Order: sequence, then C-alpha cells, then structure tokens
Amino acid sequence: MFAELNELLDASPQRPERGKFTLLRDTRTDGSFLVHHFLSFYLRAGCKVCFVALLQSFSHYNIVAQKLGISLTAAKERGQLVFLEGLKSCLDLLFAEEEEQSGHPSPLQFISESTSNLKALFDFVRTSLTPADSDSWKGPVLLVDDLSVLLSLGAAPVAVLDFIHYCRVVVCSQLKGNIVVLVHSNEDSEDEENELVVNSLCHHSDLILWVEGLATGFCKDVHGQIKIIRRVSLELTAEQDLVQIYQYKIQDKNVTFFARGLSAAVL
Amino acid sequence: MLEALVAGGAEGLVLVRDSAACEGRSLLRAFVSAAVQRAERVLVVLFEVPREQFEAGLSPSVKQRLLYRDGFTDPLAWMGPDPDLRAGDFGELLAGGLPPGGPLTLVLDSLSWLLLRLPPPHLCQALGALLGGPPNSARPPRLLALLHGDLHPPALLRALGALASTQLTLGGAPPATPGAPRLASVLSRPRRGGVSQKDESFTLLPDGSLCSLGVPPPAPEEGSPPPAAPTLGSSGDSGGRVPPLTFRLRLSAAERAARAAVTPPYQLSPPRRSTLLQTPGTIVCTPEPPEDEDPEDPDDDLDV
Repeated sequence: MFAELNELLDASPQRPERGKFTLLRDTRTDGSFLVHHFLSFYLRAGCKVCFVALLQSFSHYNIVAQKLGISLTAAKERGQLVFLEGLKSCLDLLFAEEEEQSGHPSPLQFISESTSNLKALFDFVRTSLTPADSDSWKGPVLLVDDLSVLLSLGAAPVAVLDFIHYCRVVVCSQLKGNIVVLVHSNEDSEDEENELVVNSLCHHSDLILWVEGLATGFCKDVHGQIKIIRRVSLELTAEQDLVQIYQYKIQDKNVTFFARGLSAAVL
Repeated sequence: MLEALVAGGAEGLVLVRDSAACEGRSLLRAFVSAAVQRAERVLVVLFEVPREQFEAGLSPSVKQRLLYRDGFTDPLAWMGPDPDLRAGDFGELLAGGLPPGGPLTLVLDSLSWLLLRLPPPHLCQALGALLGGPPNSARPPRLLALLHGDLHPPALLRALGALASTQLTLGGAPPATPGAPRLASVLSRPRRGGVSQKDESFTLLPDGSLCSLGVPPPAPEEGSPPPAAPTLGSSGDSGGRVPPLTFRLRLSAAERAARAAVTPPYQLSPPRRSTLLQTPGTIVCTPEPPEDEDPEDPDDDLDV
C-alpha cells in the first residue's frame, strides 16, 4: 500500500468505499504496482478479497506483498484471501488426469471447451465472495490481474464483458463490494478485441487509473505518468469528470508521485 | 432545437451517442424528466446499469412514475431460471410486450449492450418493425436509446443512423470546470423530408434538466486553425484535413483597414519632404583609428 497514492485518491483502509468499479489501465509500461497496492490496501482494510491472478504465481505476489507488510499466506489461512492461481489452474486443466480432478468444474474450464463462456469463473467468484454467517469481513473485493490474459487464453471479448457484467451485478450492486481490474491497452497495437474490452470497461468505471510510459522513452528517475480519472458524472448529473495527472517513480518498497516535470532529479 | 427535442419534439428513434470521455446518460435522464413532466408514461429498459445508478440525480417525483424492465441483473439467466428480462427477449418486448395505454416513451440503456450480444441485423429489424409498423396503442411514439459510439464499427453506426429520426452526438473534450457548457451535434430527419444538422451547446442543471445555450461560439479550439485561416488542400481534396497552424495567413477586413491607415516610414508627406530638402545639413567625418597590425606571421605555425 502506497501512502502517497492513498492521499491522491483520498482513500484510507479505515474507510474503504463501497460498490465501486476501478479500472487499472497500462499503456507502454507495467501497471502491476497498482495491483500490489490495491491487494495490500483491501487486505489491510479487513475486506474479503478474491484475487484472480492470471499473470504471476502466488509466490511472486506473496514476495511483493511481504515487502508492503502483508502476508498473503496468513491471509489465505484465516480465510480473508481466496487466491486463484491462473498459471497453475491452466496446467492442471490441460495435463492432469481426469480422475485427479475434483467434482467442481475448473474456473478456467473455458480453455478446454468449445464455448468461451466464463460462467464457471463467475461462479467461482460468487461462491468465494458470498459472505457466510460467521464472516466478519468488511466487504467483498474482486481483484483481477489481468483481464487481457483471458483474451489471450481464447475467450471472446463479449464473454469477458459478460463475466465483468455479472461480477458488477453481484459484487458491486448486490454485495456492495468493490472490483479492481487491470487491463493492458495499446492504441497502436491494432488489437481490436482488447480495445473493445478496454473501451467498454471505461464506460462503467467509477475510477480509472491510467499509467503510461513516457513518450520520450525510458528515464531513470521518472518511470511513467499516471492519469487519475474520477467519473463523477456517473453519480452527479451536472458534474464533470475530474482528471489529475502525475508522474511517478517506483522504488523498492514505495512509489513516489509528483507533478509533471517536478521530479526531484530535475529540481 | 435541443430544448424543443427534449420538450417532446423528437419522435421515432432518438439516438444519444456518447463516448467514454463524454458520457450521455445524463442527457438521457433529461429526456426522461421532461417526458414525465408531460405526463407521458416512461418505460426504462436497463441492461447496462442498475436501477439505482440510472436514477441518480432524478427527482423523487420522477422516480416514482418510471416503469422498469430489469435486464441488468440476470440478462443471460446465469443466476436463475426466471430473470425479469433476458437479452434474447428484447425482440419480443418490442414486438408485443409493451404495456398498453396512452403515449409511451421507451428508454433503452443501452443499445450498445444489446448490439454486442445480439446479431445487429435482427436487432435493427426489430427496431425497424417497431418504428415503421402500423400505428397502434402499443407503439411508442418515441424510443430513446443510448449508444456508445466508440464500441461499434462505423458501418453499424451509419446503419443505425439511417433508422434514427434524430441523432444527438456528444462531442468535444469534457469541460474542465463543472457546469461548463457541453457540445452536441444534432442530426434530425423530419418526416417532411430532408436532413438538418446543427451544433448546439448546452448545460445540465443540478436538477437534471437541460438548458440549451444555442449555437456554440465560433471560438477556435486550441491547436486548430481559426475560421479565417486558409484551407490548405481543400480545393483539390475536399476530405483532406487542414494541418493546424499557429499563425494566420489572411487578414480580416478590420485588420486590413487598420493596416491601410498606417503610413509607412519611407513615405514622406510633401511638406515634410520639402522641409528635409531645404534644411542645410553638415557632414561630419570621423576617421577610424588605424588598425592594430599583428606583427606575427599568421602562417607561422604551419611550418611551410
């Protein structure tokens, strides 16, 4: 959890918002530091988190989380974190013997079937986040890293949008929880399916964090630019969206944000 | 023109085209509020947002008079066998499932959601049958549909535009200050024939109603050429874009008159000229001091 980003977003783990959809979008750079931020933020806030991790292994996320002061292993053991390791699930689905598979369908079973329906993945999310009587967590949170991988695995863009639609219905609308989704976006890539998913998600995101690499190329002291778009217009009729732009530098255990052109290395 | 459309002047299919940067749901709400105030029945068909989000900003008196069909909660029947409205049932709703009674305004939020999931030809056919069929009690005089223009190919947008009697395209970058005017391009096809297109600016009041500000002022946007700038390349290829210039090549009439009023410094009036010629002048000549000559040979270091 990065304190400076919390200040920019006016967020605090003591009072997490409810029912919000946050889109993390990266262009020409890696926005995974935002995933680590929100994972540690919501675990620290006492929320029940379902983490659909399609990009990295559990140990990778755990090592980064430990640097941020959170143990994912402990969170899993106490039932606060439900971790879907996409890399492992894909291997199990494709290479495991049939008798070794349990009775429950794999969340990623669309890979091995002809239909690209993501209903099994949605059922996994719904089952994970539906609160039990004994639960005392603050609110459910779905975290996806990253959604573009589903397209690479063969899911149709509309199937991905259907999955997100049902997650919005259950997590945001019914359970009053939050969704945080990372997508890659590169307007020059001519990947129309990915751009359709990204544009569609932008339409119903309450908050968009768009990180971009610098147009001038790699820089040692400025790692990129972040655009924070608060979709105020979705809630208040006469209001306009608020847009803030900062630059950032990723350090070992922290990320610093500063106004454009005001890097400490420049001043 | 925009206020007249909101006040009931729009009939048939009215498309509100928006983009991710410039949302159009608030304009849809302005239409809904105006329809309720005209004592029309309004049926809102939701696929993209829940009812709470659609109602945000509407007054309580408007909210309680809206009719709803919920296609948002379970449009694909993933959560139960009997959802309120499935995506596939939308055609049947148009064909005969509308509530009978007086004038009805049908609001669809959003048409894009359906276009991504249903075959567009079937959907256009259902819309065309609804709008072009014989008038009966169940036929809505007005179908308001929200369309996200950045999610569909241009050909599909053109096909839908041919079905629509009015298209409102929200454009331009969203204003930085709250309450600042927004821009809409209104393309209407009245029944008597012809097409009219007009750009209008408007603002939305806190109660959700629309206030038209008329034709936007022709102030040039930053980075674009002003209206008086020459249209380079426009004589040969009419579709060519003019590259943005940071200067103007032509003068306005006022500027040209101001320039003509200024006497150039080399043009002397006759009295001034005669005065200069008749005044005896003196020529002062001050020779320059002799130059310091460098005694060193400039080619000394060449070893020649």
